Amino acid sequence: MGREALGEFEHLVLLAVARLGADAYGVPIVDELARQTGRHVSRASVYVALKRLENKGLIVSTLGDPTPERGGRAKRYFQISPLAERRLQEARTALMKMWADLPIVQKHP
Amino acid sequence: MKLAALLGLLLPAAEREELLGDIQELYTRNAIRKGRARASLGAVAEVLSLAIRSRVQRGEPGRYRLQFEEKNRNHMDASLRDIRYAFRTLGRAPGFTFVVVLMLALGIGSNTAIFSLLDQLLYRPLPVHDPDSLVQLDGPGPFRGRTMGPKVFSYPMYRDFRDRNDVFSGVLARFSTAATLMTGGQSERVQAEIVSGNFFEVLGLQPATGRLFSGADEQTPGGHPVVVLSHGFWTRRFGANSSVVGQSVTVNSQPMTIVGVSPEGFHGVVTGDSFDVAVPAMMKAVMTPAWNDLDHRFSRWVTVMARLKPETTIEQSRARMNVLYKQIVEREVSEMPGLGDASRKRLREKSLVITPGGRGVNADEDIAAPLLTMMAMVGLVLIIACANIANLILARSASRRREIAVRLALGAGRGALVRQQLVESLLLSLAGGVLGLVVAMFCGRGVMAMPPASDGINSISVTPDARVLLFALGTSVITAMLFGLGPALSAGRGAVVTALKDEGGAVMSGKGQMRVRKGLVVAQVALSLLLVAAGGLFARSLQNLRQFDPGFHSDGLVEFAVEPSLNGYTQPRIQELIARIRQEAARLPNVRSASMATMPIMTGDYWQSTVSVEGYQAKEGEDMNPEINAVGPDFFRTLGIEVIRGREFDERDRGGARQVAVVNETFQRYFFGEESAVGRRVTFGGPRGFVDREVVGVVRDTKTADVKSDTNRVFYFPIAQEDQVDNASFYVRTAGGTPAPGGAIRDMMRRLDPSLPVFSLQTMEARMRDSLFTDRLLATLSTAFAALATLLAAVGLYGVMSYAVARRRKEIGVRMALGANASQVQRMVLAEISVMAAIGIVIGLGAALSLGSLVRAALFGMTPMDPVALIGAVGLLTVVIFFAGWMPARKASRIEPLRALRTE
Repeated sequence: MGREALGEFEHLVLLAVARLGADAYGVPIVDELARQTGRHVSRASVYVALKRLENKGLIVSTLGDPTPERGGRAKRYFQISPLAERRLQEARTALMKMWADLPIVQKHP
Repeated sequence: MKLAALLGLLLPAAEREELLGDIQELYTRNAIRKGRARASLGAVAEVLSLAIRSRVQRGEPGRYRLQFEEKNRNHMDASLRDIRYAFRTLGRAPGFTFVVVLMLALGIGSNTAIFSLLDQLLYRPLPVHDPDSLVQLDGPGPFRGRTMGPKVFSYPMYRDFRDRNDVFSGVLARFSTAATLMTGGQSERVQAEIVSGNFFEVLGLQPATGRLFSGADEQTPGGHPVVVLSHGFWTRRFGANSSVVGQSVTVNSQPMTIVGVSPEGFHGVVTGDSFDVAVPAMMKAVMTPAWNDLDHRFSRWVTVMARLKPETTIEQSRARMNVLYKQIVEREVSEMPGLGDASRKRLREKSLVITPGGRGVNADEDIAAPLLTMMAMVGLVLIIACANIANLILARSASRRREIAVRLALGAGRGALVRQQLVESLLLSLAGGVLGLVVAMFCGRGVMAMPPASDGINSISVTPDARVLLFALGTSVITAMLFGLGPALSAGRGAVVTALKDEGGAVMSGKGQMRVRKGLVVAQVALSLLLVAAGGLFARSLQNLRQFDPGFHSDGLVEFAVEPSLNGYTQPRIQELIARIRQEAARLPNVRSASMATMPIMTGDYWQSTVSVEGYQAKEGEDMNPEINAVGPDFFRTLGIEVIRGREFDERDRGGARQVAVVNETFQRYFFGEESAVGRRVTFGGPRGFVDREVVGVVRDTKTADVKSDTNRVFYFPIAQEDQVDNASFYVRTAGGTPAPGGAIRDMMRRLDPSLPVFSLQTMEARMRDSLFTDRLLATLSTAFAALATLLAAVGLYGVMSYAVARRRKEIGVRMALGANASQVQRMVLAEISVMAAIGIVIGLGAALSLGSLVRAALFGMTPMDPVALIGAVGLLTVVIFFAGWMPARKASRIEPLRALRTE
């Protein structure tokens, strides 16, 4: 798979998965995204993005144990892959460099 | 949440569990915060949006598409390439192509055949000038006097309409009757159209040769001995020779001059009917010697059609004509003697009904329901065929995934792939359509062989015309969309790399596609069940009709008829002739007895007359009109009708003798209760006033007009005591097991009067079969369609299960390696089939039960819930399904574990 630029949304999803650590499955991921970005997040697009990221090898998933509050259904846990860690790191570095010489933009009216 | 879980079936199976789990979790959370209703709603919405997104976003973004767009600009080129490619692909799979085209041909063909019938009988406009401005008139409601057929008026009332209206540019009248035509010493029976002089003018028709009638042919009663031949009769009888114009022919022993020929394709204004000769209404006395009634207000016999003036709407004509109609009715009612006030009031309340007439006068409205039923059935057959073909294409596209992936990798756009698939479908469908036309013609010929020759339907053509061709084309295109669109879209969704990598297996043609295919099979099973149930119902109904005892013995009974009045016989001579025919017929070899009646039985016609019964006080408005019939000596013995009380008619019951009658059981029960009718007196009105008769016998009930109608009160009297006999139907009882004496009867009649045509010479069995024409048609065709549908469903199930087994080779191999034996594997496969069959059967049964009421009217002696037909349908379908499923199941059980595991 060739090296593709990470889309903004994919970027956010990866970060959400990374932040949640061991508790990263569907429901909290969507919650986390909504909470941190303050935007409405479509659940379907999050799942689609997760799947796409998994196909790209940026996240890996494991099926957990069934729990009663989920009607006896299992959770799929996600964690970011080493490749994703590297890509996120690179993106961060690039962004930081770009920001470095700029005056900090303060609150807009 | 239950609904959401059910809808979860729409989700990709691989992710279903965790997605539903998430949604369940959200639901639990939301249920506490927002309440259960809103939480449920939210869950359903989430599932749907997930399902849609996961389906739509399957493919990868078309990054290669740009390269192709240059070429696609030249659409013509691209389409040609598509077509060429489609031809090549289909040519490489001759088996597939053959099966699909065959299924389409059967499906489209049967639809086209039924449509052709339906169109010609019900929908096609008359081949006349501006058919849309034609209307038909009807005056329903009570009437005092004689009525010949549905939607008819008296000739004086027709004249009133014609001369006193201000909304029509012309009003025509017509009546159809049989006549005897003689040319060059040869006599034959022809169908005559008695028409008002302006008939052809109002229709705006031009002669094929000579002239047609005009208003000038409507002057003096008896003064217009002219005929117009129909184009068909002119061609058939005179070889389309124009020199016949001006020649003389003899119609009912009156010389008449042929003045012209009506245009080709015009069969009269009655749908499905046709005529041989048209004669002006002024010649009515010649055409129907027994009754003229041209000036009789209390005899209704003409069908009336009119052409609206330009700028006049049908609503306006209704309003204006009803004013006129009320005036005419008012005058007629005031002239009627001896009417009670209640009757007068009811007569006055009648109003005139005006309906569009551009499609012709509907001769046989009974035919509409069975035809529409059949149209629905063939529609279902076509849908089943579509489901089947979609299944085949899906199976094929699974095996073509590598080809598609290669084309994608080489830069084909997904749009191009979809289009390519559609072109293939269209090509298949058009081939099926062309072949379907051939099937339709065969099918049509088969159907046309079924109706009785004497019946109305004789202008139906099986050759497809422009409308039928258009229907076949439209059906083909819609069919192509039905079976081709789904698979085409799914073909455009495949992923390139996985398909290319994936060499032999079918891992990728995912469970989703399998589900679609199984769904299609379930739908097929359900629809087939519906059709098989319908077929069963109609077949059982026909069987009921056939086994039904009509009250007389039809086997060994032969009938024939004569109409001596058309050949100029007068009343005393008619009586002599028919008595002579009866005596001679009874002396023919192998004949036991012979008799006759003025009203033939089992023809759908009946004759009613008002009676008054000694000692019976009729209530106001009570139906005092039993059926009557004038019959000859030995009538009941000849027909095998049991005489319960008294005696039957014999040679003693002559014209001058004591006036006697025989009644049936129903008549006796109605008027006399448990007492005997013998010795009682019954008076009934005839053309010459009232006649008082003494009942001398009671006979068992029989069906008269046809098998289906209710048993009526019937009143028989001796034919020798009827002073107005114009025709007679003879019945000849032969000794058991001897051939029908058709030839002997013809020889005998030639001896008695060579110029007198003999018609309706046939066995009673054939007559009964004819009277069941629509039932036979429905039973035969619906059974055929049901068989076709079942076959298609079986093929579909077989295909899907074979494919499913092939896909699961590895899994089955593992199972067997781990110790599953052959019968366990078979059971596993059959279990899967059982589930599909059960779902399909339950749905089909539900549909059959809820749609049953639509065919109730067509069934005899049973309800649409008939357990035999329904259980039989379920049983039959179950057997066929398991047979179709047994083959793949057996194949599965013979998988060799080692080989299966090695290949993947």
